[in-house]
Amino acid sequence: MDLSFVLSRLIRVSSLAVIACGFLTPANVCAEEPLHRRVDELLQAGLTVAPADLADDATLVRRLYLDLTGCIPSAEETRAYLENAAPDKWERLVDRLLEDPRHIEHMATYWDVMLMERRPDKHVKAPEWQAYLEAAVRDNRPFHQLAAEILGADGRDDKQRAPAKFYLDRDAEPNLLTRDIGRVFFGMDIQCAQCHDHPLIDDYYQTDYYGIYGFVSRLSLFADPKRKLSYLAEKAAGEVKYSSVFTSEPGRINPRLPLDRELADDPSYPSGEEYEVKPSKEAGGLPKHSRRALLAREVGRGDNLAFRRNIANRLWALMMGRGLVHPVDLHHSDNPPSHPELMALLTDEVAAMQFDVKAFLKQIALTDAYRRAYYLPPDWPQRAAEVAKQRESWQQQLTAAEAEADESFKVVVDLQTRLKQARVKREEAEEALHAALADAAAKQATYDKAAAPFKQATDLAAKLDQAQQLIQQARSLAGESRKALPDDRLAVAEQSLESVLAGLAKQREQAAAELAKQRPAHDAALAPRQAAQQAVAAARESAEKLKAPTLEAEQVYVKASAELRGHQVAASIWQNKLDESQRLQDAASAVAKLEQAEGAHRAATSALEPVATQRAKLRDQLAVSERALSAAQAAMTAAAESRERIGLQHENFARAAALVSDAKTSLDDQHLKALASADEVRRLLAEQAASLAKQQQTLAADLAAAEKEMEGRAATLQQATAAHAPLATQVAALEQQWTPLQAAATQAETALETARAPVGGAVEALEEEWTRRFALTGLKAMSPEQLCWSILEATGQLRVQRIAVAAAMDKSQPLSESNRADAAKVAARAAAIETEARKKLIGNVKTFVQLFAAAGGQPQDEFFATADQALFFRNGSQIRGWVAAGSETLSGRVMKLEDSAAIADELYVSILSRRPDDAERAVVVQYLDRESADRAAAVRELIWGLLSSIEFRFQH
Amino acid sequence: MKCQYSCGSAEHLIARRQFLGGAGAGVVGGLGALALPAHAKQLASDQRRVLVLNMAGGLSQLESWDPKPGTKTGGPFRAIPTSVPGIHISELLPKTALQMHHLAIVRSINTKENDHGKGRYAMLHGRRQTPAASYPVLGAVAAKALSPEGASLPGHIAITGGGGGRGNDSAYLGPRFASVSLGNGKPPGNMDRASDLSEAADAARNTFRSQVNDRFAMRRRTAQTDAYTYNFEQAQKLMLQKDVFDVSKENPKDIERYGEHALGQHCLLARRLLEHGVTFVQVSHSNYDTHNENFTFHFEQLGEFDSAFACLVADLADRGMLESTLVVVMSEFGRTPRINARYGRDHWGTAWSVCLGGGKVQPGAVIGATNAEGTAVSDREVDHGHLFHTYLQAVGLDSFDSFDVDGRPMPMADPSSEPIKELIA
Repeated sequence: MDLSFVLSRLIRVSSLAVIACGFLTPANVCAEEPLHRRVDELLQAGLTVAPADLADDATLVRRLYLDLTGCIPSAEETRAYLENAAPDKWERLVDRLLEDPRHIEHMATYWDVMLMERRPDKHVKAPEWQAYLEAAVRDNRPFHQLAAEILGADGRDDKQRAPAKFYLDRDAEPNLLTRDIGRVFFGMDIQCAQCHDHPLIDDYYQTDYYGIYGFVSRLSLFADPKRKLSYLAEKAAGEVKYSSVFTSEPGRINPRLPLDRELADDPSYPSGEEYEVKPSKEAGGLPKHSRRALLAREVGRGDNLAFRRNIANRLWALMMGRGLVHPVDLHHSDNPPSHPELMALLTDEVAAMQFDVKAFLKQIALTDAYRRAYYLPPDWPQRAAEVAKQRESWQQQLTAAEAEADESFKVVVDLQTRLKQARVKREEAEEALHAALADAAAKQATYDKAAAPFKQATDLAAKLDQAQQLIQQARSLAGESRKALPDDRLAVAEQSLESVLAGLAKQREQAAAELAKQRPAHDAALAPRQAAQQAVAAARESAEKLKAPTLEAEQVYVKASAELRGHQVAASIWQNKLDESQRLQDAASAVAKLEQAEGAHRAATSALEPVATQRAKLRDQLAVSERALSAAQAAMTAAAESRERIGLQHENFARAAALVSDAKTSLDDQHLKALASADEVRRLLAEQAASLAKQQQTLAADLAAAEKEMEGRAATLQQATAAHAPLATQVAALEQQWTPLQAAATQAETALETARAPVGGAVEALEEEWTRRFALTGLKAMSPEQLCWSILEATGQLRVQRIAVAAAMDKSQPLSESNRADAAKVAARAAAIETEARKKLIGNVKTFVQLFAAAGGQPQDEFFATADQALFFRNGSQIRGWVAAGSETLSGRVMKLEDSAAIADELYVSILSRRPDDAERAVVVQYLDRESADRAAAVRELIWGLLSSIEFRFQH
Repeated sequence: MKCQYSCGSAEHLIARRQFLGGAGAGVVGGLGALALPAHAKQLASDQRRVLVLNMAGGLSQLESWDPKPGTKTGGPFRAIPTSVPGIHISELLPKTALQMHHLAIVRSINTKENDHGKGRYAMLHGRRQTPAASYPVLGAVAAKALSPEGASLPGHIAITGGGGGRGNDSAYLGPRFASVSLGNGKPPGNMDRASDLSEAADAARNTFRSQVNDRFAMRRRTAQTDAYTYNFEQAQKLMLQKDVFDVSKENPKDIERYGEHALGQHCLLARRLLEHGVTFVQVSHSNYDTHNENFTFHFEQLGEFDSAFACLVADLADRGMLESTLVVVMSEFGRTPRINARYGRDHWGTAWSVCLGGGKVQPGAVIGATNAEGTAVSDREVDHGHLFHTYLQAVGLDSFDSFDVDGRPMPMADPSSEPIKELIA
């Protein structure tokens, strides 16, 4: 049994908080300060640099509406807050929203999702459950009471139906209930400790699992045949035994809450009287001692550490986007709170505030931590530089703390071994005691069996003795009577008594023989019984003896563990500081490198620029010159060709003239002189010669002209060549200057890209780190319900319904004159209108849950994006319908505005709960101008664009 | 009292210096958080796929993969030889018999489960259903481990007889890997642009959306905001790929070849989806729960199945896809050897078969055996756990790996089971 060990673990956990506080709590924290201020002081103390600035009003009003009402503010509500100048407007808004009818529905949904994790309805339908939770929120029922109601309800009576949903819709399955009670109410996912001590988490034990299991192991679902519904039945008996699948070590345990004492054995009732309602075909059993009721009582006391810590952490996570322990169902020593001392404070305070959820949420809303901006302050790199100086000293502190932790670790391991040995010994002794008890019971049974005939014989002998005595008395009385009054009848009586006596004596003899016969068996059984009883006493004594050393070993071990944890906490504080400053430095150095690269890139570009300009200019000139040069070359070539051609012709003619002249000569010189026709031939030849000579002359002139032309062109060419050469040289020189500059610029660009790459990651890491420290507000994806209601609010669909409902109410039940002056009545009317308007639209929530919620029974806080969601946004008919025109819808309202800039304002305030900046306004105006042909369509698509944006989807 | 599980290191026993989950653990939830495990990236170039044919209701092993002709349990049908010498299957599967050299049979399954729901759960999850824990279905595991980063088509598709939408079957892997049902082979919903919205207007409004997003991202950008923005682009890509879901775009000859009944068309659609890079496709054929008239029914139903399945295997092989695509024909259980008074066979998880092939599955292998009348496993008994490991191994995964779910390691397959090693080439 684990009682003392458990108690000591409880001590360990509290000492952890004490140690942590010793390290961190600033001296000026004083208990009289409001909780929210103490929270901020503790958070600040853990930071190495100043956190992000407070967010602007527009961001804050949207954030608070989403957190407390589950919906963005209407345009009017946003404007009212932005225009309000009261210094206490924030606190007043917090108070107002905690009383808003939307808060009731939103918180009820929060409880529903936490408790049921969107399991499909089984035995209790959603409307009944939701109404129950809404009533609890409306009454601001303390959470421990709510938890006790839920864990105590068996669903038997009508009143108990709704709260019993937690049990009933899990089909009263003890393992499922154990897991979910552990997670939901105690923040411990101990499922893996079902079959063995948790493999990865050091302090989840099978005893934690079976401690809870013990409360619910006797439950089952009873289907009432008459009422056609199921409720919880409970058995009166059934102890929890378990064994590890790894070590086969057996265990027995009574119910107990995590980190708490094991509860006493059940009170015992006489057999047959255990039940208030006996189990039968008509009714499920209800024992006088119900362990379910016991669980409710234990939880309802509100003093269990794990219970308090869980709800404090969950409510913190509801507002802040992440738990101090995160995930919220993994509280254990290897996943410690990010701020142990703050966790301890909230754990205490939530109980001190009597689990007043509203008051607790208000305190969180009032912290600065809640109101931080969601983006880094512009001067964060400078802040990094300040921190860097302190790193060395932190490193030293860390090394020292780690050395202590190492030492402490050795001790703990050693003590753990010893504790194990002691526990094994004790367990063995306990086993021996159980064996001895069993043996004694067996021996007792044997004795009882053997003693029965002996006892019977003894009884018979005693009865006979008594009878003998009485009859002897009667006989002597009869004798005396006869002496006094002689009568025959008395003599007869005396004689008959005598004969009876004789018979009795004979019977007595037989009885004595029987007694003698039975005695040995009886005597033989007597000794083992005594021996077994002695053995029990001895075993009990040795078991008792081992208790003290085990307890002592446990105490020593726990003390050493606490010390180890203390050193670990100390180390973690320094490590945290180093980590945070490391992230700061990483991000700052990435940004610095980027800036450096940007500078280098700028320098390289500006060095390159004049050269590049000059180069371009010269290259233009060179090109012109090249063109001139090639033109001159072409002209020259043409002239040369022309001269060649003419020269050739000239030569041909000269050759022809020579032939003619040769012919004439031969005619004169030879015997042909006498020929009659010679003269004629001679005349022809002469004519030819003359014509040739004439043409020759012309060609000679042409040739001369061509040669002249060629000379001229040669001169031009020479000129062009002469002009080109220096230009080419100049360009070549410039090229030499340009090439390295150009290479440098390319290099600088590559360097810039390289420097840009890690910046996003480093900055994101820094943002994450700061978000973990609550120095920066993280982004929270809206829940399906938040998303649905916010779209309905933004598009004006809620407004349309409010107007319709208000009109109907004014008609059917108008407020009297006096009521209209009564603020409370007016507020009640507004609340009624709101509730009624939302009822008309609530069917839409289902669609969003189907698309945007994780599957039923799975954790619901994980963000995911699937294609069907985007397709729903892009093409779904619902959103398209909501953004369509209508007199009171957003697009209808906006269409009445003439001015595009005013339209931009209205769209941004209605959808993103802030005014647009100038650039954003300009984008909207341009869009409307461009799409002026169909302004209504343009407005519709602008609304769609804003609704689909990340700024809308995420709370920030 | 601590057990020694998975790792006996001191880090698990007592963290020596640091808290395991503390700030020292580094950034979680960063841009990498939505990424895939490293091994999937290795496979991205050679994407592996899985096709499951779910013979809903419980296919009779005796009328399919493990016939016992001529025995008192064997029923009226003969066994025929296949393309693998020595392997005989039921004569109801003549076309499949010709593809046997691509396939393997496990004949020694004992899941000890005769309930439809529980049997189906065990076979598709590789573990028994327990009330307090839920595990992701095979398709979700495959989609998570094998789908390429940035794929625009869903990685886990179930072609069902009716109904559509996103399934609730991915447990802790999250809805991204839940099944997308194509009810009766119809494409997912909301795939068409509104009729009164022109393409240009749609582009304009999306440009505006991007402008608004860019302005916000300058101030704060996270893995989640990136995922959300990216998702709209994915939807756009998906809209452009609508034809992938339209089986009528296939060759009419193929449509005829596969059979114009639902199963034939669903198998052809499965081929089309796998060809376009969908990681996991499940086709269901219903309903084999033949408590009455087992033989008539299997004769009709397997007639449809035989041609469609044989076409599918042959086509995947022809296209060179079989090396990277695991094909499994499974049920929730088999059917009793005993033939009941209504000529039916009843639920039977004790000794039955699964046929599989492709991926790294050894072609032509037969694992295990049942006795002469099929009433018990006589050799190499395996169950759903072994098969689940084997499926993962067949597509190149180390089935003993774990997914990192929010910092908690979640084993892909039941760590207490193991693959059928001799079936993996």
